[in-house]
Amino acid sequence: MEELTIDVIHEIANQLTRKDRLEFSLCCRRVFCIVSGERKLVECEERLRTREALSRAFSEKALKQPTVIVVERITVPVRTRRSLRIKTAYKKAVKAIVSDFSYDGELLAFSRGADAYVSPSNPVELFLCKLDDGGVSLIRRLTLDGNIGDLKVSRSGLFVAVRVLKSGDITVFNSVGDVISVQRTGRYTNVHGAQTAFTKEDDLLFLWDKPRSGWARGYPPVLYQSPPPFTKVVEMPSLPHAICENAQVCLQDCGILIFYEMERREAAVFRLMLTNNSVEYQRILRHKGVPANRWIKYYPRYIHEDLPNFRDWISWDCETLRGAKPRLHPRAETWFHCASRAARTCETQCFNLSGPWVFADFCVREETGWCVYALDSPHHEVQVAGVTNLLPFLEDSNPNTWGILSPKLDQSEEENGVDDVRSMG
Amino acid sequence: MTEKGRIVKMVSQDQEEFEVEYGVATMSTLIANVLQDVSEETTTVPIPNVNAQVLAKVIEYCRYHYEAKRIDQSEEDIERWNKDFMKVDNKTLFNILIAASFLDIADLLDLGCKTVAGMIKDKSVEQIRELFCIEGDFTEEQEAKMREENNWGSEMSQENNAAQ
Repeated sequence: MEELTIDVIHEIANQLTRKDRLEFSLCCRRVFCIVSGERKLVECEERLRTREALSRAFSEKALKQPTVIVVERITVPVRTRRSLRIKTAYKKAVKAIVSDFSYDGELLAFSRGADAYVSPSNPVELFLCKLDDGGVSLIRRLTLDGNIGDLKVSRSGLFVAVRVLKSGDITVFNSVGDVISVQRTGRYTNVHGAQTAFTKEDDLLFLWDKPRSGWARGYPPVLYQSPPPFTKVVEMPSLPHAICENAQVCLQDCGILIFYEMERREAAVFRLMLTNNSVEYQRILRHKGVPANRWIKYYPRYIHEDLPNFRDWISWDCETLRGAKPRLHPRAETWFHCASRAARTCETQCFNLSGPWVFADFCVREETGWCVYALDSPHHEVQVAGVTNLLPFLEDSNPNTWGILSPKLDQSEEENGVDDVRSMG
Repeated sequence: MTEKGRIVKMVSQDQEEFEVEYGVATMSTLIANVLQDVSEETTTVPIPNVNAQVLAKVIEYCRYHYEAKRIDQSEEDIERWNKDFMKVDNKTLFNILIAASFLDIADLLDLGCKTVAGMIKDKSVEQIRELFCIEGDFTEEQEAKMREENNWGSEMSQENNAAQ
């Protein structure tokens, strides 16, 4: 009975009379929880049981103490009118929001700045940091005009930023933050879902998401490829219409996987095979029946938990994310999910972030155990970006003991009134 | 290639290959979805969660029901066959259930769950534990308390029986 999945036990219980169901449920705690509807509890317990396996999956090089940097905290003035309070908080927060970040190996790059919908002309800041055993240090802080659609760090230390409101400029920086190339596509300048990725050969791939509304919605999605030295972008033909509905590009050993979620309650994974000047795509997984919750609909950085079942096909990496878009669903619970390909388990680890925190985004490197994340509070009063090591993080599920450290990014942080957030969580 | 003549190769967890007709394979919603998404040249579908012994049973079930539907087999014959099919040890039965759930074969999952429910019927908790080799992890007090808290179930059941 131990090996039966929650769904199967539930199905068996549904076939029983009330009396038999009671006897069945008293068999053991697990069955009782499932039958009595405390399914979530069992799910959590079962995920936690894989802790040992998961911990092993992370490198021994991982630091024993969590290290977290806080990028920003905004104290919101309390006003009597709620709408005013939210508006003020949001206005303040858009300047500080970590809009995107990328981490690969040693380098961490992140941007913070305006939300394109709110104040597209605001400058955006880019931070390039280095992560090592000693913690996090800032290499370069840059200010760019235009909004950042996406940014990525390559394995060899290049990092790229796409500016969606500047004629689709693709700016490539080297590992110390010098601009080495700017390319202008001149198309789709109001598209927000730009996605970039580096291949193992350091080719830059660049996908324009298909816009769902607005004047550009009639345009097809486009994938560009730009080999080093990134002076010319090549448009790849034959992208299917549906591939770019809220696309997320994720580079894996076997090709490029594009995760997308459509409004028709469907999520899918594509594998793209790149050859000289052409691209072939194959849909390798489709998941129907993705819950049509509001926050998933509008916040599609969500990979269904069934994905690990296909790990052998797609070299599934170790991150999933479920979280609420704060403005849409402020009281939603946020769970941190984590599963490991190396652990060879389909089960995931999860922690509930008690309190109103929601993940804006996160990524984790399996080799080092480093996890980079952005947290947000319901009305953007506080926005935190942090880096931490996952190993101790997983060993202690109490978020209060994550060990928040003072921000050490830049002197001007203090001048801006940024303070520590030890009370977080 | 037409779907009629299409053969699908299902590869079990232990790398055993099973050649199955397209119609039989697509009784699994999961496989149907996979095949719909890949090109027609793709014939191999890995089933990493199911071992060869269980996959063989699942294919046997699908093959029979596919044929039964095609030749319009009588309900009685199908029921009899189902009953015989489910005469397996508990371990195999559970594995079939897990496979049916994973492969999304609703009829097989339903049949398996009904079989297990039939085994549970009118048995005490101790008998169920013994039957399925479950180690109880409730103390006697906890069990008694839960029985008390949930006894509405048996009362209602008795009422229902009386009403019938």
